[in-house]
Amino acid sequence: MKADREIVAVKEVNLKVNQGEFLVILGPSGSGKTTFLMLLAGLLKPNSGKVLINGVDVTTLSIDQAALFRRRNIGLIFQRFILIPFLNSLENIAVPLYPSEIGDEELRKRATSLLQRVGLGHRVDHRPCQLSGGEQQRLAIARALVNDPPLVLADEPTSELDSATGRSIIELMKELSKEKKKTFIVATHDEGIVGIADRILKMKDGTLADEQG
Amino acid sequence: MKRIIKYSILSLYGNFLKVVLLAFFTSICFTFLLVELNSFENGTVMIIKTREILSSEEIIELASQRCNYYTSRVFYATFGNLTLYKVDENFWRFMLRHIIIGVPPANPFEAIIDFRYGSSINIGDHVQVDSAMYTVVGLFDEPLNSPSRSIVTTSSNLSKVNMLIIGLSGFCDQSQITGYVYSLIEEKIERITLTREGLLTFPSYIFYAFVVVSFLTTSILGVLFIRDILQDCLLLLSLGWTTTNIKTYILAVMLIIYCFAGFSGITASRMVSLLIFRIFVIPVLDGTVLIATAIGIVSACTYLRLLLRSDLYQGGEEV
Repeated sequence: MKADREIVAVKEVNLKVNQGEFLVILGPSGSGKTTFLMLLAGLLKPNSGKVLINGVDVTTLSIDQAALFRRRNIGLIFQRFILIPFLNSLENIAVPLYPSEIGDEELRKRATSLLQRVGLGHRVDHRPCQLSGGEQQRLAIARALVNDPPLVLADEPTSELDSATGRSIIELMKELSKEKKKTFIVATHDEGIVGIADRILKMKDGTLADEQG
Repeated sequence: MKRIIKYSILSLYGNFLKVVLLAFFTSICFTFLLVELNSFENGTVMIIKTREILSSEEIIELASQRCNYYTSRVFYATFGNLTLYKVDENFWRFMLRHIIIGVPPANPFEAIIDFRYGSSINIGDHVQVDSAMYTVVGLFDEPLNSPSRSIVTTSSNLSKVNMLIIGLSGFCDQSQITGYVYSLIEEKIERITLTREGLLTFPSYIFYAFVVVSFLTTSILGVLFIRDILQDCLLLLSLGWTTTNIKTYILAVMLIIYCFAGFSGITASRMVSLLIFRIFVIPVLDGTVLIATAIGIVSACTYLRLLLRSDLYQGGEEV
């Protein structure tokens, strides 16, 4: 299908993110935040430019290379949680590592530990439909961390939650970022999280408008 | 690999109702395909009446032709204005649609009689032919075109055969077969009759309506299932599964669904065969189901693969 006119989702973005940084990209719907995160994750390819993560240009990777790269280096958190409805909490966390060489016991240990860390230790056998919105997002955070990635990308992680729950989710991510020394890039339109971020970038019409530290 | 297979099974279990419905309706489509193929296969029936008893070698020779779909052995003898037919089990594939009241004989002591004869007799009555007594269980409309009245009973072990009914494939050269029969037993032949036989013995419009509904339902369920599985695949890809992992997952899911549907299709078509034709094992059905199953698996996997590839760099927001 060919579009009538070309739409540029993200343009002229120059950004360097430090390891362990908690970066928030703030912008209204349609500003290009999701596209930008998908470019970082290697799920979309830009028409031009580079995305370097730990020295690897993800734009040059094939589908499988990008998938393997994500498995080792990137955790993803989605707006609508996107958990797997027929798996329980423990299995949902372990899914990214199903195709890996990690043994069942080790996988279980990691998943259990993360489940406890995000406060869902008592929900091991529960399925996503038995969890509240906040719990589902906590589960999604645990899933994003199971492969121990240096970089976690979160796309509107609080938009489906009430403000108090959303705040607790962001605080949890911030804690995990400090505790596990992970880089978090969080795209959101919720200005309430401004105080938590190490750095905030505003995005408008596909461009990073200004920067606050 | 083990965990991916486990995930596939859990995925199917999670979509249990959808999977069962999809397999059920796919199996009905398979059944339809098989019954239709069966009808094509049995386009013509050849009735060979002989003046003398056929030898077992001659029967084997005639029955083993590649074009033959089934062969019924019959012994007939005339007593006054009555012809007695003793038939083997295969006969009912040919005969059943001609039964207008009652059921086929289940043992050598039961019989069905032609309609003219039956006008003065009721089901449950007893008739005596050549010192043997038969219970009448049904009436038929005289498909054998006998000059005399007919009574037909079953026999599992026919020692004398002077008539063969051969179901011929719709694709074979009938004149070649007729020529072959003449070349083999010309001096014994009394008459050869070729007749076309439809095999559906129940109101076919109900069957066709059901099949149309099944095809529509299968299509809708298939689209829904593929949509779901595609979303699942995109999520797995974003979580770090490679396309090889995802293909394994899709293959396992499709293999299970279509094997289930294929098995149901075989069972259903065999039940239809059993009800209509009174035979259970039809090798061509198994072959057709296997081929249909294989085509189903390959086409579903290819379709999903194409969808997956086309969505990869376009549908990031959908992930």
